Amino acid sequence: MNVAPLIFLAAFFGLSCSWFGFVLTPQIQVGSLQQTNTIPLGAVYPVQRPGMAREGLAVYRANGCEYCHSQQVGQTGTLCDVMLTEPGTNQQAVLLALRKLRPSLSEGEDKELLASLPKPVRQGVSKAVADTAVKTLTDSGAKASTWVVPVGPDIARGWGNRRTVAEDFLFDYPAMPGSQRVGPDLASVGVRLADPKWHLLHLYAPRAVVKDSIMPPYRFLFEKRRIERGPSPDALSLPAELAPETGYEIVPRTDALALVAYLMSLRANEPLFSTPLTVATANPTTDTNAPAGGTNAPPAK
Amino acid sequence: MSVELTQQVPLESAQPQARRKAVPIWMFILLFLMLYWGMVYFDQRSGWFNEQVYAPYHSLEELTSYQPVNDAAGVLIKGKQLFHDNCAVCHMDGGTGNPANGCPPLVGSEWVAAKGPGRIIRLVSKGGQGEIEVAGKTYNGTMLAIGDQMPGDEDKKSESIAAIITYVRDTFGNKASAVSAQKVKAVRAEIKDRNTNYSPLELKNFPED
Amino acid sequence: MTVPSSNPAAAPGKPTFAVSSIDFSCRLPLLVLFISAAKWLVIGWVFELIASLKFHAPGFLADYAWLTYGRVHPAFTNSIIYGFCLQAGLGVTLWLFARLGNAPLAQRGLVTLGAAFWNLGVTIGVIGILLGDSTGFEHLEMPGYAVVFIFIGYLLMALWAVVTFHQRRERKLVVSHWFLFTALLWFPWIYSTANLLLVTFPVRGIAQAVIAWWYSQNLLVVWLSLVGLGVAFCFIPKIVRRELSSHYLAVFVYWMLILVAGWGGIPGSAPVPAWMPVLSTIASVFLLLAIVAVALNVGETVGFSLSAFRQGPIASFFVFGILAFVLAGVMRTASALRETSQSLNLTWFAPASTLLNYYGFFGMIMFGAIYVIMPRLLGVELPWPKLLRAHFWLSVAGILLVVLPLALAGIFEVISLSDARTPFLTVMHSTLTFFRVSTMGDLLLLIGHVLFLTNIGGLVAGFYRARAEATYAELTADLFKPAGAKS
Repeated sequence: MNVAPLIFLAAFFGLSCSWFGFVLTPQIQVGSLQQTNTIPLGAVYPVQRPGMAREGLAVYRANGCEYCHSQQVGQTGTLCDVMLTEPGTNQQAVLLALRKLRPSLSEGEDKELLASLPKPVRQGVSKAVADTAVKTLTDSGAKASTWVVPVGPDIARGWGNRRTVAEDFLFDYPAMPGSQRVGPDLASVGVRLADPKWHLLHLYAPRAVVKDSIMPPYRFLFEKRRIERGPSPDALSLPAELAPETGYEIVPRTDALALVAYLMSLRANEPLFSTPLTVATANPTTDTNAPAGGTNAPPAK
Repeated sequence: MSVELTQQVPLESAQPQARRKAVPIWMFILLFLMLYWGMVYFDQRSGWFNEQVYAPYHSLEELTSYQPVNDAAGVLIKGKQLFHDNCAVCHMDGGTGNPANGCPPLVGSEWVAAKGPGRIIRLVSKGGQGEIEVAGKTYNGTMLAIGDQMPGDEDKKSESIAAIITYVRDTFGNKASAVSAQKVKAVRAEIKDRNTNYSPLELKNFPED
Repeated sequence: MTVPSSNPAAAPGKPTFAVSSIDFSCRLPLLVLFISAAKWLVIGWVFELIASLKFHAPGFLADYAWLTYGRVHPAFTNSIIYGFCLQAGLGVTLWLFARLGNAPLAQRGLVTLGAAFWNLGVTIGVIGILLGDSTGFEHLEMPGYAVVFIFIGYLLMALWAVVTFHQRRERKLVVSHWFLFTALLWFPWIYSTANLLLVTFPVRGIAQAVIAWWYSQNLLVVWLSLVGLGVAFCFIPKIVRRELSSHYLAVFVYWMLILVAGWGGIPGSAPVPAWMPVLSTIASVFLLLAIVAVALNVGETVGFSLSAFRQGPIASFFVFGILAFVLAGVMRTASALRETSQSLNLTWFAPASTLLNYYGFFGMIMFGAIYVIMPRLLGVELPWPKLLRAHFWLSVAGILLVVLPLALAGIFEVISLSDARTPFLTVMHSTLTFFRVSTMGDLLLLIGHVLFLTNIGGLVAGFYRARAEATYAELTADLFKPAGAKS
């Protein structure tokens, strides 16, 4: 029996399986993703990165920054905080409810709490516990709500306030979530380190801003220029041992400025449907909790 | 030594043979156990291919339970944002409209302040075309099917449209009743097969509910 | 074509045994493939040494844009994978198809042209990466203008491999045929898909990363396993002079590889919907069965004793390769199991297991095969047999010194980083201690590869020089016949 055509068919079938699963389906699913809305304000997310940042993405790619830096914040769980926002009119009932939820509070402390709202009453509890607590408080006349808080080692480390999702890479070509962490995660570095001058100095001489950094200096992204009519506004302010001789300044090239613009645009911290979290708004009273009734979310399919 | 190297691998002999020993049965038992584990693991952790379920959430139900709950003020804030993103282009942020473009104002509009939102839901969903009389003036423009073009599935669209209409009926001096997402969904279900704009005459045929 | 044998000690490079006609038909393309593969191995490991040294002195060569870590590291991986692994694999596949089918290699001129195109492509690609044209997708960094050459080269080689297979005189197939034939079909499909959907007509957003991970997995796990195991299942029984323990177990491994292995590769921490990493985890666990099956099959064939090592250094390459396959597979499954953010696949553990797979497993098996095949092509023994042993021990010591500390560093990282109060930089500095050992290993490997290139390069050079000398002697024999004097 000529097995050769069978081998061909077997190979074809085998490869089509994984091709179907990890090429075609992702293309249909996340490949046709559109902009989504943040929850609950409904702002469009993500917006296309500004032009300089798009050029910076190309610099990031060309210099292989993804081999040391990842852009994938992880999340291991979700906890809830019970946030008391308004004391209501019946202080006695509210204090009673408070003492039930926080028995360790002393007399003076709980009155202090009511005076300095909004304040969390319980933190880091499960959703069921939080919802019951909120109901207790709401029944007593106060206004309270459940705040959703993602947790995980990356989040605890300050690398983001939620996990990264597909929408964070929607307009990027190439999408570079990275594969290794030799340096910190960069998914929301634009929020965490929002000073472009810090980034420029860090690129030029990492050890000048981060003690004992293992990142190599990217001096080729900068140029040493003679000071003509006056110092350039872009010139780096370097410490004495790194500064060039008098009459010269270190100025970032376009690549460096673009790269920093890209880093500043990395802000994966908006709450989305797929990664809910409660962000404190300017007007805390809008975070009221309807005791029952419809939710903002689509019903379970 | 040098001669041994080639002699080590006597390839001049016939083709490599393999014994026809059967695959041990415990391997198949392990395979089936792994299949079972795999199915359970997939059922528990995958969200059943839903594109919005990311770890650590295990299912769409779990993800939905963590979403913020609806509230009146929140709907207005959301409606305002959506209005700004989608409608203010033509109707302006202040709701004054743009007569040059045939875009009627929303301030003092009897269409907006109608008893029921039925006509407005249809107009926002499918768009409008033709002469429309608002506050005594006539406007002749084309409105895109903003509602149908909202992102997300039918539920999300209904929610977004409800937020916009609630905001518009509350602002611009109208003070008309709010619109629930369920109402919008029900109306849209009636008209889901339509893909052309409404004309104002057609809309007048619908009761003001 | 036979050449008279003579004392090898007296005339290095002169053929000592007959070259079969089939081996002769493979000579030119395989020489090009194997010497180029050895050359890329050395070049690639120079890049790796540079990259490795940067961790100990961050300012090392930092002023040159083309030598920055982010360019030198992908230059290394692409040189080794496309320059060494794929070329060696294709060469051995061509030879095995010719040998097993008892038919000469078809159109060896075109196959050699294919090899030349391939090398041109890799050269252009690596230079492109160093100049900053990397595509940004791991293991697919070579820019589009290089991919064209590589693809043409591949087609030229693979098409005539299939023709050779079709023209075989020995019609019966062995299990290695399954593995190698499938691999020939696998590569063009995954390579063209990946390049079309990521470089030519890019898909949107994170779907790019998913396809890139799919490609990496199919190249480094499926393709390398198919070819490596196909070669091992053919050579190992021959070396130990026994039959392969179980044909059906090998077929079982084959089906697991082609049905399941391609589904791995999506890391647990990836910003993709949960079903993708879950499917990858399940696939990785299933693959454990294939690994056990390979270990069982090879182990029973060699009798579960390390006496196979005593058969000689060439046998040792194969046995070490299989051991590395098992260990790399276990490591890969271990890093696929945890779905938490601090999973092993964002630490040094992942490159350690990848390296163990494509070098410790595939590379070592290719070394063994090349050492067997090269002398047969020319009819000459290796000029420096002691260098073979030295190469083996340097490779073993090197790969263990590279992989084990990195794996330990990865485990250490996961444990330390799970406590958010530990500063990230402190943990990184602690891993540098492991890295020092790893750099040592890189140096040993580089030396071993230089010895490899010297050995087989010397083999070829010696052969052609001896032939040139013989031809010259032949041509000038009549001219310098002195009357009565010694000749």
